[in-house]
Amino acid sequence: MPLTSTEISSPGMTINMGPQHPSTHGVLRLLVELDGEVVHSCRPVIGYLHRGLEKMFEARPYRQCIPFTDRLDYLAALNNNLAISQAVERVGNITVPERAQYIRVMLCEMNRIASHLVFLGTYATDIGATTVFLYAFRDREKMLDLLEMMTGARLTYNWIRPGGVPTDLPEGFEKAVRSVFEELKVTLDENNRLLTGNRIFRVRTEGIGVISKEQAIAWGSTGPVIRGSGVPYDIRKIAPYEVYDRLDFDVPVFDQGDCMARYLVRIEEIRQSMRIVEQCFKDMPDGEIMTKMPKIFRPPAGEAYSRTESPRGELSFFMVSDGSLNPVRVHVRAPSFIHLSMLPDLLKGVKVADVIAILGSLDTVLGEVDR
Amino acid sequence: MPTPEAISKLQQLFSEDQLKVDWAGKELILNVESDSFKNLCTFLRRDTDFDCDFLADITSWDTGVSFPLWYRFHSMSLNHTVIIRTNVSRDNPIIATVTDIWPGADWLERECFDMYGIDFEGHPFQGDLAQMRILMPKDWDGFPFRKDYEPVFSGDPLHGPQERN
Repeated sequence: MPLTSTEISSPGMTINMGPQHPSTHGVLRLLVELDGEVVHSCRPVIGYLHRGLEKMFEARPYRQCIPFTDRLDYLAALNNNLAISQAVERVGNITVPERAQYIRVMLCEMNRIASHLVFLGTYATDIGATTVFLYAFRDREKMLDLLEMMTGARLTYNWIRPGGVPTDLPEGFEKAVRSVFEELKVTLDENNRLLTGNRIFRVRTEGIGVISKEQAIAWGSTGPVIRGSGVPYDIRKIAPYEVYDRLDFDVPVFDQGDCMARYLVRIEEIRQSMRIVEQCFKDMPDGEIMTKMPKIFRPPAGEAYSRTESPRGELSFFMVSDGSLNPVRVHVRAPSFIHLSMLPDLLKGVKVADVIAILGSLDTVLGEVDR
Repeated sequence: MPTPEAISKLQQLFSEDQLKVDWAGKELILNVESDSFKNLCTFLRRDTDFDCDFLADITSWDTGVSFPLWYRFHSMSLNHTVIIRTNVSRDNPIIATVTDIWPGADWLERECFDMYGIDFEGHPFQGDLAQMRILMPKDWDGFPFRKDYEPVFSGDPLHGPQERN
């Protein structure tokens, strides 16, 4: 008589996922203990990319910290530039000209689109749909071309700085953005048709890795993860910074809390980001783009923090100044770090094949986790 | 923004030398002594006027005299931010854990331990140095973000304990 699956047990098999595993999106190691096909326990091991950036900030004048932040969340470097610039501005009581605020918002939203397109491509590959990967990266390359036109770099921009932005919009920028957006709106629908209506993709994501509303709040998740669990927590709405309070956009929220919901949130966010950029072009006033900053910048002693909505969630920089040239302490509240800490609870009892689907849906960037 | 009634409730529960209430714009900053810290956290989580269900951030820094601790909370239902500041001494850096109230505090507390050596009493891994370490290698020597930390190169860039010859 053949044995049924409940009678066969193979307890205590430990496997290492990573740190060199392509689906872990960076140097993340998961120590997974399996019971047959089912994950018994999981322990994320991080720190392989730890460069001590927070300590390095302490040895530099405020404005020289900006290039390091590019290496935190390298898929959305402008959002990191913005977050640290805001922290420096708050600790030093600097106001930013309105035009610079519009340019910042616009560029950050374009970076968000580029980052979500990477998610779209890599997540599809994780699930097994390789076609979308190529399409999404083709579209992302167009977004990066636009950002290069503006900032001169593809990934590590080092562009937003305390007091404003260094350069105004280049000639023909608006036209270039509009033509890319026209294409993107079409290709996004195409990609969406390839995935959202795809039966295999739906089976792999629907009902998988469910995070309840209470869990999402208790674990401190933010960004698309918490919005995929039915909590409308978006810093751009609840504590608007820059000019977000003047812009009209929706915060996509899905209640299911599974991988599909988190995927849908991001797809919808790409559309909303395009809406924001188009409004910025329309509303942007003329004027200064940079506040006059002293050559030697010494902010008064005190503490300040910024909270911004990066593509991955709530990105917050905490800064302590003692009135000298360098900050005493800079702390990065990285959304991916918090999301990874959910994994041991989230992966308990799931099938080993779903580990990658769940990990991918959190969209972590290890540069930000390890700092 | 917490109501004046809520604030007065706080001031009734905690004496003036234990808790100092401060404002930064619309944000409430509570400076609390470390022995009342856990009670305050429990109160903020349970009380319906505060309802701090979301722990956003924990961090610390080194002033040379003590390690201030900085906690940022958010209330999803009331949409306000509350910041708790407390202090632990450099000689005996120990504070109660909040992982039993907010499970998300787990890794944030481990990071504070890893970098500053602050002990979180009641943390699931408390006392287990190798398990508490999170970003540094588990056999690392010392706490690198302290201002008096002196890195000593062991000769092996990949591996841990720095041998002091």
